Amino acid sequence: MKGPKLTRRSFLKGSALGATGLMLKYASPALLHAETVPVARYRGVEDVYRQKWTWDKVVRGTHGTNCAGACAFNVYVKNGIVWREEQQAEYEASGDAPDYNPRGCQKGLCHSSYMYGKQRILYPMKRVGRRGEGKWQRISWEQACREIADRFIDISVKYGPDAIGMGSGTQMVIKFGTLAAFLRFAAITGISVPEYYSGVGDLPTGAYMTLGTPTVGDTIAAVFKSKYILIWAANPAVSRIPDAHFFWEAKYNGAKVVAICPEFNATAMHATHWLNPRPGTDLALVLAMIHTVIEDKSYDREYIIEQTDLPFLVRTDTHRFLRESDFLQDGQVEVFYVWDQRTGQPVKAPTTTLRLGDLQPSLEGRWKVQTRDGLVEVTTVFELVKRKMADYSPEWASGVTGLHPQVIRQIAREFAATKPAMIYTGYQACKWLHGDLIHRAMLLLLSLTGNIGPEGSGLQILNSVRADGLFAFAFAGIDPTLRMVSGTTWDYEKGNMKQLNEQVYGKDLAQVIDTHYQTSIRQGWFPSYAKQGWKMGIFAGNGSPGWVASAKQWREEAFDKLETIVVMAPDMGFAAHHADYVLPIAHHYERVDIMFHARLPYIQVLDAAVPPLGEAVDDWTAMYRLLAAISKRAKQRGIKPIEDVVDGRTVKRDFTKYLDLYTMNGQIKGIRDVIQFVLDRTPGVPKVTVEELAARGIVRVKGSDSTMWGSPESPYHTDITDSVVHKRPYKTMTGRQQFYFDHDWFIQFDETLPTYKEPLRLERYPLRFIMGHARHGVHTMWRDHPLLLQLQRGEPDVYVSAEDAAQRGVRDGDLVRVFSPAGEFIAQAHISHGVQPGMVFMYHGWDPMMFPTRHNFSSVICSGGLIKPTSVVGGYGHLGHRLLQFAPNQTYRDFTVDFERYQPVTPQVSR
Amino acid sequence: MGNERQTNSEAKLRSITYALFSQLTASPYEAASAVLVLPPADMPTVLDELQQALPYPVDFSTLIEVAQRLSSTDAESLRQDYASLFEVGSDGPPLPIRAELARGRSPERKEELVRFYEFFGYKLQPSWQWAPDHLSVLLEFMHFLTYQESQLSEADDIASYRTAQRDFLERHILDWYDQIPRGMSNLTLEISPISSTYYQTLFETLGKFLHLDFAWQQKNLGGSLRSSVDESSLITGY
Repeated sequence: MKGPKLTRRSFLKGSALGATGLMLKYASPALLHAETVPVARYRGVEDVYRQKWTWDKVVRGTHGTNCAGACAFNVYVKNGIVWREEQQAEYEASGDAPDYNPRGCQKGLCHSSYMYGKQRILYPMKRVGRRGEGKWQRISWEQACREIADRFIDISVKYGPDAIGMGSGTQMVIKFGTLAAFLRFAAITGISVPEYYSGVGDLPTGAYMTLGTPTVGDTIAAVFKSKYILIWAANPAVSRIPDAHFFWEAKYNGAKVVAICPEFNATAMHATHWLNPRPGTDLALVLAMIHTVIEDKSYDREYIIEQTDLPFLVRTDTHRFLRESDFLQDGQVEVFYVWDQRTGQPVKAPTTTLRLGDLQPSLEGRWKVQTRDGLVEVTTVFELVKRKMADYSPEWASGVTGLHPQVIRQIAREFAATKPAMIYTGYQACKWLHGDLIHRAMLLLLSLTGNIGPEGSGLQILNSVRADGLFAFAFAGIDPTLRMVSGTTWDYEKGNMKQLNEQVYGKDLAQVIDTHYQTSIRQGWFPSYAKQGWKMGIFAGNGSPGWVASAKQWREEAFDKLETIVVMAPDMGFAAHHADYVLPIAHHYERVDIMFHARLPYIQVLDAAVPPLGEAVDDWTAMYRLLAAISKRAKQRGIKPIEDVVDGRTVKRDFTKYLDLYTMNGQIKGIRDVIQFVLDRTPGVPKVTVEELAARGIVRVKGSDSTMWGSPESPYHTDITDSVVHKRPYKTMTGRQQFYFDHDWFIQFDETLPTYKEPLRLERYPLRFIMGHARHGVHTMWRDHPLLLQLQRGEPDVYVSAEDAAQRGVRDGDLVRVFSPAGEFIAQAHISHGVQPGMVFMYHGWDPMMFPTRHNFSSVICSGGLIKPTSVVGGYGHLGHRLLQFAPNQTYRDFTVDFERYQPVTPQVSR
Repeated sequence: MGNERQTNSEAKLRSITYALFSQLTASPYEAASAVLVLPPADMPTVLDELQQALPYPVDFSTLIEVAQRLSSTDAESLRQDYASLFEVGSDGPPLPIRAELARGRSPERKEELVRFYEFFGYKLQPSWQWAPDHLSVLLEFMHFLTYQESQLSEADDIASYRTAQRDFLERHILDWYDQIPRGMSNLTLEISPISSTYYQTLFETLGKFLHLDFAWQQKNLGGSLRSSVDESSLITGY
């Protein structure tokens, strides 16, 4: 029997009621297909399971989030729903290392359920209650964009476009096509873009100071090529799940893997050795290892003479490098000298190559040199290093770190004797006030042992893709200006962090920091953001003030004072909760983009498996709609162009042209066009279309035969190989790996060389607060996923030692109040014997909204205003204001707290 | 013949009731719902006709009364408050309008839901495919099944569709639906008094209707059809 043809009309005609006419108004919302439906024979629910489950399509995809894993996934779709995902597992190997398969972790593997979760933002929303009250009105995209556009125009005209800040979270910047579109949006409009590297305390400034580049690292397969691996301030078994197998395979390949971390974690569990220095004392351990290498004379003399500034001469009277200007009135200040053993006199170090030719530089010695100031004594940097490191014996370090001196000597000796050796680290060290010293010391250890350059060696942080295609798109046909601001100094100014410094550290330290900061600005070394505050804040890509160090202070001083807050995000979080407008953004399987990840030699696609949920759109489209509204409203309101000055360049901003500029007069029709534009102009990318990439999922980049990024064909930076193999000078002031800095401030603070600085400890706050990336989330991404919460405690927890807990009468599972002079948060106590007494450990990523008082760990960070003077040095070779390379890091770690059992009196929600 | 005619009539009445509630629980923001004018001036009339004609004693009078009190100035409040209750919210919407968001519901149920739709040839528009578990869609599927039933004459076919209705209602609506009216009663979110009264009444009325309809189905199916399935016999499709 054939069934009826199901249309609304046939349904209504079939109605037995006289009210048929009225029924017309109650036709169904989800349209039934106008087709004949056969009658089904149903006996029980088993019947619906009899039909074989088949997929409508399998789409290539990944998760454009900031584990930066870029793991290739197959995404399975049926009836317009993503049901599951599976690792693609089609990677090939680099050289004779194991292949990269499989890539993916439990977080990515449950995104198909998370994307349908209650946290999704499905529709544009407008706040109708007080900020943070949680009262929303659903509005149309047209209304949202029109109202935002009017505010955008008004603020731009009245205060200048720099009064609008667009903070981009990593959900946006990690997607390469979207990042290009975002930068173009910013360049067209002139808005301020907080820099997202040092601004989150991730900038390896120590690496930049020493090597002239902060982006050091090879593919993860390089780990397999190493024979001695120090995993230091990193926990790859938890935070690099798809990469971790290389460490354990390296063990099978004969390598020793040494985990150095204060807590017993999943990486330590699998390591050959685990060293557990007291938290915050890692620098002492590195220095003691250097001491041992020098004491044993196990350093690689030939290597350091060629590659480093260690043979460079330094005046002992002034502690300055011996320069050409010491001999000639018009001599250059960036021409340096070595002591040539062959001729017995100071000779200029080569500036165009590292090759020494006939030069035979001395590493050790003291000599008298006739200069314009008279006869002065000079010595080598190496001599100064020796003298400095003499203080840092393993016995001394033992007192600081708690490690036995014999253990320190053993590890140092094994490290020096085994090649290639590497230090694998993440960004943790950067987040300490003296993180630059930690990296400088690590690099000195590596350099002394000849372990910067060879395959399987080096300081492995993370390389980055060359940005030719990215900036080609961002600036095509427009003024190449981008108002990127240093997040740390902006926060210092606008978050009134000097006041916090005074409150926490006292007026003296606050004054020292402020004096040097203000001097740097007066000297023009770093720009000031004192004049202009933001009136409008746009937070995209899950960017959130919930992450800013000293968040309570920042919220009150900067965030809450914004006149308009707009959030563009796929998921609700603290920023969205406090926004005036919330715009729904497509999630990972609902959009097209590409990802580069320097840990593996492939480009990865995100393809749109399903349409965005609700009324969500991808970021490109959201920005398109905003610019369309701005241009339209500017025309309707007769808004004239404004003049804007960026870095000394005057730029005319015509609001009516914004949309045309964004689309290149209609040439760019969507994110696919953006991606193709970028792909075509990024070096090292094979000729490929977005469609081909979508079909294949992954495409191997050029110059990736080795596990190292050393080929000029590759899309990644090759600075280390350029210098070590091709003998090109480093991009440092000395042209060498630079370990000595003779700037006044480095001398003043005794940081001319890597030196020991104690971690900051606050009186009455005895416990050091340590954090790390979580196993069950990538920053805030997936942190609130019910499935993943089931694998944890189900709510934010802090790990405390049994001893510290007992002293405070805290039992496992109790709620505790963790507090510092900057603020407090409430979380569950997780008593662990893997945590040393004297420390509190927390895996990060918990959004403030997941805490009872809406304050997370960021609130106890006291150190957000600590701008290290040497980090704002300028006018000194390669040191100065260079965003994404050299800028003051946000100090996220380096503070102490205390905790106590929390006994709520009455439920309270604070802002 | 006489029984078939009666069955068809009952199925049609139930079908219209499900269609009506499908509309009333749909988002007033959806373009396809533009035919639903707020306040729904003629809805009380339809409800009244239905409560008199349905094959079991159902009381729509409170909903009728509340609907009659609605005025044209309430339309915007109803729209906004629907969104505040079911579509937007800082910790997700306060109340689940989608089964997947209801507490205690197994994720595997979504597969079964889609299998039900496929089995009976019910398809959603692409823009709605992501939410097959939206209450409005679930009710529309019930409307679809009952409408199909109303077009049938063979006893086995009718029994087939009635069994499906009972199973679907039990497994995909009643297993979570009560969270909505219960949540309405315990709501901390401030919404307009008229919305509060209207939506509270709507979901309580709908809840009573669903339970009555389920009980009626149970009774009418009698022992001729199998009871609920053994969960352990089900396997997922992948």
